[in-house]
Amino acid sequence: MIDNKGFALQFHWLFILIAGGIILVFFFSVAGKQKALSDEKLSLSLVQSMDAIFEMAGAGEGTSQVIPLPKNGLGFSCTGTCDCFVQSGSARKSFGNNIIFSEDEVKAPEVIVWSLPWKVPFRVVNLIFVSDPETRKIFVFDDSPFAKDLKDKLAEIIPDNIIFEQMSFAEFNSVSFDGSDLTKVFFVGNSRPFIPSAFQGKNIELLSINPQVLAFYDVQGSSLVPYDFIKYPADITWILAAMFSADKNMFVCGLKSALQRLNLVAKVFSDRAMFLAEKTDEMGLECAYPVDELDDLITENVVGLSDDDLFSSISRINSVRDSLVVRNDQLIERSCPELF
Amino acid sequence: MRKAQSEMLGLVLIVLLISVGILIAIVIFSKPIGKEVRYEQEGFFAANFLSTLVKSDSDCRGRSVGELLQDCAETHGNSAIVCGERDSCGQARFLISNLLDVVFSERGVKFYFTISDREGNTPDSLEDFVFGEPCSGEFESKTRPLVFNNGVIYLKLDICH
Amino acid sequence: MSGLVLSCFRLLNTMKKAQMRVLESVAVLIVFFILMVIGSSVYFGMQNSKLKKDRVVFEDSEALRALVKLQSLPELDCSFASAHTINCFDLFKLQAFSNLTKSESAQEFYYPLFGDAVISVKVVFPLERNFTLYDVHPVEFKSLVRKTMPVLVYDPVLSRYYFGLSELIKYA
Repeated sequence: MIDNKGFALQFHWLFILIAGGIILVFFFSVAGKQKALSDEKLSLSLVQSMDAIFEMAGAGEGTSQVIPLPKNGLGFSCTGTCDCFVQSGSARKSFGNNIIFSEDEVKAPEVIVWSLPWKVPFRVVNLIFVSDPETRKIFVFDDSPFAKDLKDKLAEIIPDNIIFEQMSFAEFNSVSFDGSDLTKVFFVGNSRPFIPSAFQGKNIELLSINPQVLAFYDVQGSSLVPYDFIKYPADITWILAAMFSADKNMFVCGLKSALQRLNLVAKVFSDRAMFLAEKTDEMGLECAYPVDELDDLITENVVGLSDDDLFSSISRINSVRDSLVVRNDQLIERSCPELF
Repeated sequence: MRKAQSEMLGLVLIVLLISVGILIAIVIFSKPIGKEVRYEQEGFFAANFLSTLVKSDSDCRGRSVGELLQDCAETHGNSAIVCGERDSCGQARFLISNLLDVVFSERGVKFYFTISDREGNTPDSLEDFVFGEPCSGEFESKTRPLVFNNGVIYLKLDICH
Repeated sequence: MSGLVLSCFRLLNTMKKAQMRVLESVAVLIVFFILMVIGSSVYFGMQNSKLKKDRVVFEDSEALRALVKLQSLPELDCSFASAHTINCFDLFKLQAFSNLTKSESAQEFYYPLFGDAVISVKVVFPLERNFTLYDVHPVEFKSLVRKTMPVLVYDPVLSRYYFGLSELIKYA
């Protein structure tokens, strides 16, 4: 016959085990969910903070700031339909009205955010360049006048906290690999790009910059394969944009966003010029405002533009820009209210 | 039975104590929302108002409000600048009073505006430049200096909470 | 017979004792879970309350940020001969911009920047004019935040700065 007391005791312990197990499972599941929620919250918070930083960089002019990043890092990408976003973990935010050029992944503890205004000649928008300080960046210049001119301009414009090495072709041939996770090389001039032996099998991205074409190269083994290229007017702003872009897609999307922005800004300036012309006419001042030229800055159907159309749009805009500078100076000389 | 009763009583007491503790915690944590952020924005607003005020046009011979105040302080109220029926002090006073009304009074915001020198005293010609009432409780305050030939005056704006 | 009854009573007593023990354990568990439920509901209630506070603070900051962003737009700012006046809008740019944003395509472009909002600039003195710069307001909304900021409005023809007020109403 079973001892009732013993039976009660065992049942008691069994009951304790089951109840305790349920309580533990409950607490572990709460803790697990909190951790997952906390990670997601951190990613979202990071993406929101970066969005605020990019907006402020977009509002300022010519600023260069160092931003700390948590270990998740940040990803930047643009789809074929120019849907561009910044991502951390599962959190993702669209570029919105910001025009950002960056590597596709940034995992350094700090990142440099540099804003450079695009002027035609009035400011249209601040382009935002994101630089990973742990990526090695090398300029390789040949002896062409274009390369020499670009070398001087880059030295003036790039802020001191973004480090670029500068080499000749001969120096690059004998360069040593320093262990960087990624090396970006920019060949400037008409000479053909190549990979030195020290960089065989390493993670390297190449961009060739000559006066007519920007060519993006892929490294396959020991050979270079140009996978994308675009004609462009030799404009320092767009050279920098291509240098900082992850790929041609990001560059083209940024260029199109800038043109869309220009359409709106140019319309405002054109209408403003019209109002100024009317007012100054009423006051008997002879001020000729270039309303038509300002309208020439507008590009129709930016989204559907081909690469060739983009090239001709920027060329047109650059020539209108030069003419507007002259017209504005003339207005100032005549003591008329200036355009910009 | 007594032992069981006392044990149950103990449990009930614990539940009661915890409930009271939670109620107290709820009361403590139910503070008004975003107070500190609002106060910071009030300070920013006050600074912005003063900065905009001194640069804006006074509709008097192409001078700004700041320039009228500088003239008023320099000439000790004996200004040669004539703005219609008023001199520089009168015109500046009229404008500052109107703008404070439009920006603050009409929106129900209490403020206190004064002008003082480096020692905190009010210069003679600027004694009339006191608008609003001193704040009874907490307030955000911003000051803007205005330099003239003989020294500097400080425009002070307090926004009451 | 009496022995049988006695053993039954003993069994009954024993059973009652065991049941009471189980009842005790169950009662402890019930009280424990009640406390847990109370604790959890208080915790989640407080989290909810904190979220609401954070949302209000966030909406407030977002509204102010939108006003600051507005001042940096090249479509509105006072940038002349390479000199830049902060906290300033050009009078004729205000007029042009308010015409521009009447179109749906322009509203679509500025929507990521301003969201559901109404933005206006009122010139207070010596001119009196009102410009609605952006007007995308939802039919229904949970809350709204109103922000005002003094600004300078520059008249390029007369080279004068007027006192103005920019106002933003942001809907959530």
